[in-house]
Amino acid sequence: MDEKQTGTDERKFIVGILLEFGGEKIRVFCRERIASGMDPFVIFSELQEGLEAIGAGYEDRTARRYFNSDLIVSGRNMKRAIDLLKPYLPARGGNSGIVVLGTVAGDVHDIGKTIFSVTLESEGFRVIDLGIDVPNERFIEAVRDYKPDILSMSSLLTTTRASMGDVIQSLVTTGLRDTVRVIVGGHAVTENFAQSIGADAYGSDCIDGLRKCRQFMNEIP
Amino acid sequence: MNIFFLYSGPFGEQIINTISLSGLFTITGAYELRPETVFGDVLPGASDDPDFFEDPGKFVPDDLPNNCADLLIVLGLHERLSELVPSIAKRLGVRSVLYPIDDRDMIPGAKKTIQDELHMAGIAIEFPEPFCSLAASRDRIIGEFARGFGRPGLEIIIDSRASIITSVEIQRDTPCGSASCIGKKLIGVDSADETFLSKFCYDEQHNDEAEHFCLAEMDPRYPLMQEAGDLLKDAVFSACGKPTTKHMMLSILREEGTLSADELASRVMSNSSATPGRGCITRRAFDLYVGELVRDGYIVKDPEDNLVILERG
Repeated sequence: MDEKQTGTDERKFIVGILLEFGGEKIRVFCRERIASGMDPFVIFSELQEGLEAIGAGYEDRTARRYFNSDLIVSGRNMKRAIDLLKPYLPARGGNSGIVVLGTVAGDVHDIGKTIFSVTLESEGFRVIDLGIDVPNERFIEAVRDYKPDILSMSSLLTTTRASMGDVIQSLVTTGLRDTVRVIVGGHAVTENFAQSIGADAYGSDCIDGLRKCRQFMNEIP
Repeated sequence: MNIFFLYSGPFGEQIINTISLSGLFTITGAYELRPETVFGDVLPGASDDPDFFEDPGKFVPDDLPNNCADLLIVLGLHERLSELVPSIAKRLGVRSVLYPIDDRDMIPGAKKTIQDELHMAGIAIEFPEPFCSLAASRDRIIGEFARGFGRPGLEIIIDSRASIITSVEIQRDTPCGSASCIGKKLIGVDSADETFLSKFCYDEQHNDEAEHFCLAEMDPRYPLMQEAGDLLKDAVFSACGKPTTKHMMLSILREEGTLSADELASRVMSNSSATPGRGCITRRAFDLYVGELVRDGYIVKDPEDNLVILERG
């Protein structure tokens, strides 16, 4: 079997684990890999590839291999993996900075946000997670109340991403815009979109997002 | 009644799990039919495979059983495979087919052809959208199924002094099992605060950390999950003796006499499940309720399509 075939089979195997309704396979998968000494971030990365394969199968309108329900179940299994792997992530002191994050109004997808939250915490950020379907005014209240260094918003749906621009506008009108850096991400967001709404950065994935958050903190005097 | 499932993926698994565990029906089999089973790894376009298009019956897997069920339930089948449903229904010897649509991509491309072919074979078919909107049917087999699963129905007992929910009995569960799952969590909830009760229902209905939760599409352009939330919220409100969306619609129409559907919708609908009011959050549920109120003789539509109350006061 050649290397490409091995990679395809491995991805199919992981997709199968992510799509299992009961969630037992993902628990076994994570426990076995941790027991073999694998870095939890490498395990995240493997699972992320599986999620991306499911996402691509959902996006492909001619093939239509996956439904919304497949996205939800694979997301739930990814959360199970996060719960299992979290204790094995390197713990750091919580003084890297404060991040308020949430998924915008009308959108209940939270897996990308949750992975980003875990990644930030493992790098010493204090994370205030507002959850999913967060009303615009709740983001503004949180910036006012917690005085974070960074506000992070995510959106999986093109129909809900406009809220990010509305929140940034509200930050301007309430005089809070200069107090916080704004990073946006999620499946519905692109670099161009981020620029068009006046965000400070776009995170293409959680590692890219982390890198940009670190960069923000280095720029703060 | 004997049921056979044709399914694909976790959407089917969750529903089969719920229906099987209820013990209400005899499950004679479940067959996972994936595109690769029929087409291999490369899915052909509709025009690339004339054999399939001409005679999809030839592609029915050999290992499906014969004459084994009264009802076939099709769950999350790939759109291209839907053309196999009539041949499979005949093979299984069923008298009725339920083909729920919980996602735009589940809508079979050849819906009319499937209906016609099954009709000619004397087999009934219905496409409830979403599955938990199924409340009744003229077809005896589907009607029998709908007494056990479909639009949520609950019986709730409230402590009259403290307004706390003390007992919940599920009269009809949603096929995904979310109604019975939420029913357990309602015990101990204070029913007096209607805004809280409403938000609780919507939040729990799509809470993916629950044992059973809604798997329908949630895109605001096709809000089936949100509609399912409306049906559940109104079922809970009805069981708690609180005004449902339909009660609100009738109450407003009794005051006004006549209103356009848009005007009435603007007065009863809330904007989001994050800040729900007492009414529904989707136009789909509103339109469903209008249809039911017309059917049940509470309102009529005048020639300008306005809604007119039939009994005032």
